[in-house]
Amino acid sequence: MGKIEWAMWANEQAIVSCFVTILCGVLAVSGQFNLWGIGVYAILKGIVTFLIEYPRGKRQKGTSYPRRFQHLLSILISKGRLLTRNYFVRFVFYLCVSVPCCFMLPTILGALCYMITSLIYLVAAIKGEQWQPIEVDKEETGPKVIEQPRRPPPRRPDVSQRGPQEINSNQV
Amino acid sequence: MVDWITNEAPRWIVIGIWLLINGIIFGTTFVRYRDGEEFYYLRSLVGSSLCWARGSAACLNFNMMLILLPVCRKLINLIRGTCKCCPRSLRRQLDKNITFHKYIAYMICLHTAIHIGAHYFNFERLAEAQTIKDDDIRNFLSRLPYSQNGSWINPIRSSNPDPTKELFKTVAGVTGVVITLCLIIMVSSSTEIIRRSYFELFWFTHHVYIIFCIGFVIHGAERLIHRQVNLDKHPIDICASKYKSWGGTECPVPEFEGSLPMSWVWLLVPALIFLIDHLAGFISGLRLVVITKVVTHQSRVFEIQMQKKNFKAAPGQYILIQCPSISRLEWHPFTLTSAPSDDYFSVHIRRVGDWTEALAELCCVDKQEFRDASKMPRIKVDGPFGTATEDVMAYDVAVLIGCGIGITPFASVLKSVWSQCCQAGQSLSLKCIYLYWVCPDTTAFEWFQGLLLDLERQMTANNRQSMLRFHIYLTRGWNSNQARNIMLHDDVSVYDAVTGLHQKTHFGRPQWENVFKELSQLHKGLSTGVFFCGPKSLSTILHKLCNRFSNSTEKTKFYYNKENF
Repeated sequence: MGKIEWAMWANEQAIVSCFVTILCGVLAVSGQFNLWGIGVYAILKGIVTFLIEYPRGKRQKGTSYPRRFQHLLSILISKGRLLTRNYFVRFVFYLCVSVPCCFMLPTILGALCYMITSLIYLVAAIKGEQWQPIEVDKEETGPKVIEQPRRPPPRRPDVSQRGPQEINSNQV
Repeated sequence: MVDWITNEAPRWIVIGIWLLINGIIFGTTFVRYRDGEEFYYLRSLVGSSLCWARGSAACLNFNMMLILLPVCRKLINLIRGTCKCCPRSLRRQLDKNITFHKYIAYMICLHTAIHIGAHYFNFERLAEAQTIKDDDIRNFLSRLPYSQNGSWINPIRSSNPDPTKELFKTVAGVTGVVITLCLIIMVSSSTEIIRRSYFELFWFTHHVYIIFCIGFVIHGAERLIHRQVNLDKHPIDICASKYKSWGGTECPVPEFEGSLPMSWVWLLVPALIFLIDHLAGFISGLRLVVITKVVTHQSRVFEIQMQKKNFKAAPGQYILIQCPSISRLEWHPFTLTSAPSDDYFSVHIRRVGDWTEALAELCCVDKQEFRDASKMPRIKVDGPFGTATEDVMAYDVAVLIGCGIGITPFASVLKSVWSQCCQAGQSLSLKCIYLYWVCPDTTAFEWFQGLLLDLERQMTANNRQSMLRFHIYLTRGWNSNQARNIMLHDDVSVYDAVTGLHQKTHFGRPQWENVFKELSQLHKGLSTGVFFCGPKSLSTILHKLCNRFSNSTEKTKFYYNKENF
């Protein structure tokens, strides 16, 4: 087992945090509790961070697993340069956005989730990880050509390219 | 016709029963709290969210009882062992233990969400009740005396409460937040990508379950939910509306008492089983294991032969190996490749990761000189544990499909079939074994080839060669010269040019549809056990084919079994 890439876990944790926060926000708004405005904020925060976190970064080693339809968002994130790709920025960002949610009971769980996320991102940042876009294989246009196999399967001599005599002499 | 009954029905029945029990528990608790008179005043404070919170809490109890059980390796092994006589379809469900563990975890997440959501409402409403100043029953209830052996109903006592601060004043609030965070961490680190790519991370973070269980048990210790205990002196239907004159002879002040925390009752038995299970594993790991022989094979595979006191294994079982000098925490599963009749037990290990590499180094796989057994590294072995493959003998026809190193579970199966075959007196219900081995390159054959050759020779000697049929598929790893040589040899010799076996090697991937079609025609009306060890994508294809070619009218049945670790 190779080295742990903390950003991958942070990303999963962030997605879970988004769902928790949105759910908390919905509860706060639907309950019309005191300070329910924070609930609206929590929903918006959840959606925005979901969009940031949805595209999965490239793994340093091995195959990367992009999420479905992440391509467009992925371009956006890679355009953001340091702001969206640096994990230290994410650490600070998540820590800051989670503060307002601490002031209301239903959203407090969401805030704590974001704090855990930001801590994992801090670890990722310290380990020198950075968000890298996953390259998309360009789809070929036009009719698909199946490549010739590089290693021919063992076939009867008359099927293979050279004649049978040649092979016999080879063998001798 | 697609036959669902063979492979799918038992699983859906188990899941159905579990869902039904969940539904019943939720429903009955919900109704009890909705209609119960002893909760009338509590309901008038917090409304229907009480029922939701209690319903989900009851389901959480039930699912917490279940979640530890599917991960008790020894327990499952024990059930598998004692359940030899119970229906095979039931026993096969044991192979899906991790799947059930996941389903139960999903259910816990769902009920946690309901429980927390409902308690948000409860808490906010209790806080709100404290702030109401006018002539409201909620105001009266909130101001009930605090002293008389806990005869209060509103746990929030300050007059102008902030729900967030109040939450952290209660045991239930603090433990609730802590265990929910534990649950979230466990969920986020057990997604497929983390499990597959960074197993250690998944493994270590999953251990917060200890905090989770402890928090779960003490969550209800403060007994915050109070029910009325003097219903006979203070009947709801008469007194509820006269709350202004409470305290007289007609309607005394209602008295309340917290309900006892019950979670520990649910968790006690499974936690004990879990503990014993792990202790047993620890103790069996302490017993001395002697490495008797290390054999180096082709394509970075090495074999370790070991001996341990009182070690008995059935074909197809696996063991867990830990090497203290590499890591004290990591236990790695390996399938046994020795037959039960051998006086040693062996595993084949492919060097692919840090751990296997380190073990190879310690065992001096690369060095040529002889090393004394006493200088071998100390290892701990836990097991053996059963898998689906144990049941091979129970079917009429067995189809074993292995991909690459995935052939190992079948090595011991083949060996034990052979040894049972040789004993003339024993009758086997198993009539035919098909072995399909899909392999990427030629060198990978060599370590398994010896066994197959042996088997073939034995079978021919006993005139049983029709019983075992190999189909080896080579998918890569030859150049054009080799290809011609193979072909030429193939024509001349009765033996295969690559493996030296009677049955010729195929090149390319098998066409499973044709394979299954042929099998279903050859063995009409027989039950066939399909055993697979390999990548998931092929597993799905095979599973579907098993369903498709099972035929209930002709009683041709393909039972699909997958090895999973």
